[in-house]
Amino acid sequence: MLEDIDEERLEFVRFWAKIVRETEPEYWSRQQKILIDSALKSAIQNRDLYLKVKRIAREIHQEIRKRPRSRGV
Amino acid sequence: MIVMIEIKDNRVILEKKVMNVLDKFACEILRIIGRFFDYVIVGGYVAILFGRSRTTEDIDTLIHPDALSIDVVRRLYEELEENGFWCFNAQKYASGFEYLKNGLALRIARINEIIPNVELKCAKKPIDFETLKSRLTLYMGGCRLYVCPPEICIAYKLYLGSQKDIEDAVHIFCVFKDKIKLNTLRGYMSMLGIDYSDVSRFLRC
Repeated sequence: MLEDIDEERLEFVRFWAKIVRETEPEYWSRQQKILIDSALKSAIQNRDLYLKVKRIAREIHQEIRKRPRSRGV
Repeated sequence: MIVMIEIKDNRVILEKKVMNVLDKFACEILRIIGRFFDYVIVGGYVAILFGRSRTTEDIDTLIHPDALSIDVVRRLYEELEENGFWCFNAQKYASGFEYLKNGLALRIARINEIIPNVELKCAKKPIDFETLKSRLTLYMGGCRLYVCPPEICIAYKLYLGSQKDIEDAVHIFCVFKDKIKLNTLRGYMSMLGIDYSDVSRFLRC
């Protein structure tokens, strides 16, 4: 998995972390709230579907973990 | 340069944080869970608490199994119900107790809702107990939460290794870059079987 990591996305993460580190929580958390509240507002509240998705995700994850860990490049 | 988010004496204070729906949910539900169990929040929500620009559906939480008994789980269920929550994957307290005893997770949300939820499970591995022992106290908006220390969060995220997990690890590493104890981090990585040379290229800001 590690060799597939998108370095460009990590650069954005570093950029945002710098903002979090150097600005008041009020500044970054206001933007974070817009993102989180809107995403969760539109979430599908279906118990059976949710549990099924979680079960499949767990099975895939376990399968991936069985494979030998790839070394970084 | 002034650093606006800091760890001091095992505490993090997020003054004037604008609370999102996840924060409000976490504060309400973990206030109840904390009456029955020693707990620690692990996983993606910790990165989100520390400012990561993403969301999550569930708040992964470990509890110490020492307090686990059918009576404690019964009282937890009663209190959850009185406060408008339900455990939607094990709706009777007896099955909830069995879940926890057998290492399975309970999922607790607001009644008749699924998302967001707390995924609650008992500590099992040595790293889980270490996380409970070294948990940080985080204060925000009159609420107190217990969260995993950055070194363990980073090590565990690197162990999981997906794009999202590596991003979380990098975020936490960069937010606390001067406070991260590198020897401690490497110790936890070793506990999880991670070779530092495989992941060191990610740990820069």
